[in-house]
Amino acid sequence: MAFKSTLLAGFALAASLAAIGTARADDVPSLKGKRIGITVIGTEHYWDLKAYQGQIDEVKRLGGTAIALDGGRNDSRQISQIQTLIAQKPDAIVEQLGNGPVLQPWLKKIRAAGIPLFTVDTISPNSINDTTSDNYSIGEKLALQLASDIRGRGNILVFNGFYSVPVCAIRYDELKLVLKAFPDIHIIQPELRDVIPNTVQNAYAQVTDMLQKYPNKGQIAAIWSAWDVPQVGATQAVVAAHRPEVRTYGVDGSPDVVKMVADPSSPAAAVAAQQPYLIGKTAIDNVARYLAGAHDLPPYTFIPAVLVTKANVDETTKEIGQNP
Amino acid sequence: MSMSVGTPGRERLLLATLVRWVTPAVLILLLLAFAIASPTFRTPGNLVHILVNNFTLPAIVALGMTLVISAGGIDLSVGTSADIAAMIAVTLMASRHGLGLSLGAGLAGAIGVGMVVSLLVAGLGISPFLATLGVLFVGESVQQLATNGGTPIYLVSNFPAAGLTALAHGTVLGVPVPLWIVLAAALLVQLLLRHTAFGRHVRASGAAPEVARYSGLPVKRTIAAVYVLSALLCGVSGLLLAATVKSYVPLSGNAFLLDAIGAAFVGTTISPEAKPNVPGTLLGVFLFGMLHNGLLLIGWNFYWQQVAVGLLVFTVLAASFAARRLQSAD
Repeated sequence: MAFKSTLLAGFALAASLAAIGTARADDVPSLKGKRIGITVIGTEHYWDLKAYQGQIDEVKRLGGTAIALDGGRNDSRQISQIQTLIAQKPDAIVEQLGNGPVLQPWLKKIRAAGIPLFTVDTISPNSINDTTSDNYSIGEKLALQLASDIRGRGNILVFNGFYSVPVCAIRYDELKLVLKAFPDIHIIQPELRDVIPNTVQNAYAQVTDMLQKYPNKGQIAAIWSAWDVPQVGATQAVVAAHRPEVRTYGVDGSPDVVKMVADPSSPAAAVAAQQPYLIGKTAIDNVARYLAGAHDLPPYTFIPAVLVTKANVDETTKEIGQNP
Repeated sequence: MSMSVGTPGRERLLLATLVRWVTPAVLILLLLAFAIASPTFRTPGNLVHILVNNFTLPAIVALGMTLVISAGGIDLSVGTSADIAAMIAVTLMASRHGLGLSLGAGLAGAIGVGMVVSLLVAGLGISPFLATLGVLFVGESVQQLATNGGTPIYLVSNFPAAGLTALAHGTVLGVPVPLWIVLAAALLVQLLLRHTAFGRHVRASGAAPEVARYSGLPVKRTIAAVYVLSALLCGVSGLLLAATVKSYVPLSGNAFLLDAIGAAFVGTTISPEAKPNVPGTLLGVFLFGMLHNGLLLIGWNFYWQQVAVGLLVFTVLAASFAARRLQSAD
């Protein structure tokens, strides 16, 4: 009898949680009649594109109109587009991933114009809410995985070309923090600089240079990058140089990089996979709630990310909705 | 009397020789400096690496630029031609089409870009800067539209076309295939520019287009052909890029634009007439590639590497132009 009661209570709890979940999904207020400006620094990368699409799709789903502008990876073009958006006086503006120091004055101008500002992956005091992955956790988990894989010892190459992008800075700082606990792991100097455009071939050439400089097994243990496109070039360079002992690590979880991690013979050891589409969608949901009067939004909304490794690739890819 | 006439003549000759040796001298000095500073730099493997990974791709693009600048133009759409070729080829390969068809279609796409530029410049008379800038912007949009906003296409796993790998990483007679391709492209452009009527028309169109036109030369047809040839060469570079990294990442080709222009102008310093030329352009591209490699190996921070490249271009061009002014003042 007691078991039956417990079972019934359990069912009731499960039913109520499901109801809450449904309510959460459906209780996003409509954006009908609202115009939402969306400005992104670029869309030529999996993460950028998915987060951008997530925003546009959600604005449409909620009945609003998206004024979406892509900066083409050009700071001045994005700033010019922000000025255009301010002139159009939309009901809110969402800014996605750009050069923090360059953007801040313009984000301030958005607020000064009385337009609610939301951000995606851009930390700003002017943003009402920043929807992002927990980059502290991502950086820490990736660094710990790297340290564990190389048994706390060895030299690593680091791509650090986008420290001005706040999320990349967080991941890099977390790497350095973790490495403080592993004094036998050293970052080879100079650090490498990832570039846009031609990220893959440039990373390939730079890593090949460094593999020439450190030609012996054990001289380079791993390669770290704050996103996963340099990881593609680095992995290919390692394969071409027949140095499979050098492991590569990155962040984002583009499907092709996840496939590389899933390949047992690939030097790609791990990638922190984010959920960019959900991040974009959630940012717009926050906009809708704010415009409907919910002015007590938290300053940050964190969307979970998972660390995909060779050991857990089967489970984690299901979690992020990919097929390895 | 004979002394007063002969001395300035000898000085001019000496200056002219010095001007032409500025760039090669800088190259030799840097080679020596890097070889002393970095044991890795002077290994044969590193030299091959510089040639294959830092030289071949921009060199092929720069050869096209040499043709265009020789004809008095400029081509800002070189990256578009390279990217369109790579996009078409990789898209076809990703859907399991054969290597030959994919590469051929890629080259056809690049030629298509060249034909559009030709139409704008030679047909409609739009200035090369504006026409190719327009094509650059349109090309970027086309790539984003075709790739759902800019999604890269990777061929990293289970790709059946071994020929693609051979194109980028194979060797013939011990020489990497990409170097053979650069050699063939360089010989073709040199032959066209220096040993054919077409080449004379190109140079005449570049030096004095009005005179060339009144002399009955087919200026429009020549300029049109130059842009198509440039696009074709850029297409080859785009295919090699795709083969090297087994992927197509939108807008990657734009990375070669400034190097190509810089190398073509650095190359003019070795020409007695200060004109773009094939050996000079190749020298310029090698100088850039070697500088990037050498500075990285000796441990310079990336930002200082950029400063060094800028200073190098400035120094070479400034020294050369200053010497030329002295020469002409005589």
